Amino acid sequence: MGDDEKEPTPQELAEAAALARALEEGRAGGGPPAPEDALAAAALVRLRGLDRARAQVVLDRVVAARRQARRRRAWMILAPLGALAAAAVLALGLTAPLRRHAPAALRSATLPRPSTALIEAQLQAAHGQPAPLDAEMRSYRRALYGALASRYGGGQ
Amino acid sequence: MTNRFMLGLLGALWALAGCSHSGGAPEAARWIAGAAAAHEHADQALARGDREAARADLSSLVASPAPDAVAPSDRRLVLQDALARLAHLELLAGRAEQAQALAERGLALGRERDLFAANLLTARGQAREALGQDRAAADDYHEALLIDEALLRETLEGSAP
Repeated sequence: MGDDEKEPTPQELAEAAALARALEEGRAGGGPPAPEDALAAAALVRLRGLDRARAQVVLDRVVAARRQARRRRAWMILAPLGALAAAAVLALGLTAPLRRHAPAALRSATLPRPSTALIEAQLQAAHGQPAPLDAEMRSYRRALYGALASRYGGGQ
Repeated sequence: MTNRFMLGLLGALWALAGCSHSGGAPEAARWIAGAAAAHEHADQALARGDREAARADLSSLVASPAPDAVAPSDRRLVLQDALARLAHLELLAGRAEQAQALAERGLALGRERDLFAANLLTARGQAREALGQDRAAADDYHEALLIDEALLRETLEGSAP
């Protein structure tokens, strides 16, 4: 084993760790992902205090560590996604009969928006005049319960 | 962490499987129809000046448990609407404390910024005003006005061509 291939010193390893952190932070900062060669070039500049061969040993460790971390992260993301996809497929299978038999309205009925007259009546009620609100709410309630009946398949 | 995730997943699937066999939709439809009927009966009772009968109709609606098949958001608005009406009836009967309690019960079901919350806030404001809590009443009216303003904007934007 030549001098260049010796294990890196603790100081070199500390610098490599700092470099890896700096590279990660650079990515987290929102910039585009740097290609491996660009990372290597940047690392070599950072490690210019070392001769090229020694720097390469440190750099290889940084790159290997980054690859391992990426694989770990990918697994951590893909495993739950895979489980979710499986759950979605199962859920669709389990609820298919329910969706087939549910009335179309149950899936699509939307509740009526309050009219401007109703909101104005509400404004008046908040100013101490509740009478118009009663009349407007009666009308709105009919539309509301009609929509709810459609939603739950009761019809009205 | 993974175990908890898998347990949660199994729980969700179990719940879905249960839903597909529960057949709860007819019960939900009956509950909704019952709520509509309670309001109609209350309207008829009020038309003939019988506030107590109206109160009894709406009280029985509020007391009837909603089936599981009714979506929580639908259950909330049905109950909030009935509780706001009940609070208003209590105010008309001069029972401000009961009105305040009913409005608070309705607001405790959820504070969506919708018409039902605005009605409950207005009812509570009126109750608080009757109880001499002017500052608290003003806060309720103000919150109701803010909701109305937002609703008005949404409605106007929704009806824009």
